[in-house]
Amino acid sequence: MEHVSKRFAGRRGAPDVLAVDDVSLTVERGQTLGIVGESGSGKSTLARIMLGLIEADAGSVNLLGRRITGATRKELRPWRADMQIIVQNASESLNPRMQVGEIVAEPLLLHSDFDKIGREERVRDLLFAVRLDADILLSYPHQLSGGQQQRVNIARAIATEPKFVLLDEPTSSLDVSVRGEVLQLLVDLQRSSQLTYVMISHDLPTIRHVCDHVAVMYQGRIVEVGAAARVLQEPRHAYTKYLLSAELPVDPRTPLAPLPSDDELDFSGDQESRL
Amino acid sequence: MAENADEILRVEDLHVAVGQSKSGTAGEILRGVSLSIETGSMTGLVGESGSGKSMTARAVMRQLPSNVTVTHGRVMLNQRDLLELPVDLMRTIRGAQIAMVFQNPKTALHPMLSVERQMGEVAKSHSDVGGSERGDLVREYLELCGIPDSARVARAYPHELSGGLAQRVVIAMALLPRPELLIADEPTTSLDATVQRQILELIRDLQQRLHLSVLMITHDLGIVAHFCDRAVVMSRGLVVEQGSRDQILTEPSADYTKRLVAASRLETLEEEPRQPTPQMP
Repeated sequence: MEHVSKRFAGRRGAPDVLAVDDVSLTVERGQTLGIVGESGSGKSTLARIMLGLIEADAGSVNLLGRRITGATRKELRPWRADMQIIVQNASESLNPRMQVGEIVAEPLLLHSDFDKIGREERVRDLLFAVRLDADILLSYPHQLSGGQQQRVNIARAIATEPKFVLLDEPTSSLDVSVRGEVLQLLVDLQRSSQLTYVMISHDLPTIRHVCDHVAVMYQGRIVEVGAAARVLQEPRHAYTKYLLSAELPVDPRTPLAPLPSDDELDFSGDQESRL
Repeated sequence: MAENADEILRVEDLHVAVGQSKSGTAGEILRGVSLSIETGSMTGLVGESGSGKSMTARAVMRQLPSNVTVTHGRVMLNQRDLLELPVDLMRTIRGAQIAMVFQNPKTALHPMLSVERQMGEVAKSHSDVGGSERGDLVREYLELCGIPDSARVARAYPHELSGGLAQRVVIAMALLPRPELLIADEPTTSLDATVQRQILELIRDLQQRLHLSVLMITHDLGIVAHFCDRAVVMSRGLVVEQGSRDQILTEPSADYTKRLVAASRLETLEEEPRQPTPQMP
């Protein structure tokens, strides 16, 4: 991504919002880039521009050797098989009237020339890959747990053997015991299929465990980017330090990072004083 | 179970069921919950979704959904069983002795009333402070909750407040009647992490300054690790373990707690945290 910007018109006379402000980023093949930031930082907008789901005002996006910016919907359609998205709320992204088998088969109807039998076989393989029992093929989404729903989402996303998957808070609506299982599944799939991930998350432990690189977003800008271990252990930017001070390690012996002083918070229009 | 004078709240063998039948156990959502909260402590009530932690709080407040009933057990507040109290007395205790704050501060505030107006109503119904002094009292409580700009916030309407500021207002309003016990049900789950920490620091500060007892309902063991003195762990309608924070987090005895702690630390992941890619010379 080079010099990407996106402005949204303010509603009812409010000033425009520069959701993404001159962002340049690279993601290496087979690796995971984490994008962290708080709500309203522009991270979801940036990710959707990456996939051509939102059009940028300026700048260019090249993904898998194709120029996403400026491509028409018709041009984008066949490329979609290679670039998928998994969102936070698994239940809302599954059609409640469709059975699991139909949901996972749907992208195959659009993007492959499997016949009916070939599709059924592929769906079974996909369910196996995401560690779901084949007996849920005929279940409806509401009959599944949150973790199972997210696995169905993952199965659908990898059905067309994508090369790039955008993970938008993939585990934040899941219980902690399920979070680890889903992350492990994503890591395993990446390894077996050489997937490239961009993961949006506000959960620093998740970023620490899953990402190779991390970009920190604040008010539409990338304020810091680097190897995940470096950024999370030796943050350079004041905002990154502020973000890290919010982490609550699950160990009473690990001291919390000091809250930055008001001077150090000068980068922001401190949220608490917004009124 | 021995009564202990240092306990503000003691829940004994609480059973709660869906539906009217008092016989069967099929619809039981709480299956014999026993827990205690020490006076002046911050106790974390932790568990995953559906474990019954919020239902326990609602049973304590006697604010269960209409099709849900307590089938057995006692809820002792200062050695008095709340479940036996007449409805009107319970109404006074709610607010005056036990206050509750919830996840979403915006739904706890009346959207059409200014902060001062709704806090004034609370002050009026719970104290004999006269009209002219009520404004001072409201501002005093806003300042107590870390809002230096109290006069301006008092005039504001809920939609003008950020999430963190709205939660501070909700806490100030909950504390106005000077309750002894504050039940906070996931009070920071809807907030950004940096705001979450500020609100948690505030609750702990208030707990210490006002000698409040706090029951902090949360799914986040990180909150327990850094803000609670004690913890009660629930799973499937039962308390699986309770004890000091350090014991629960560093030497848990129940298998469920061990798994929960490991999962919260992502210890179940095979891979170690990733190392930086070596720099090319």
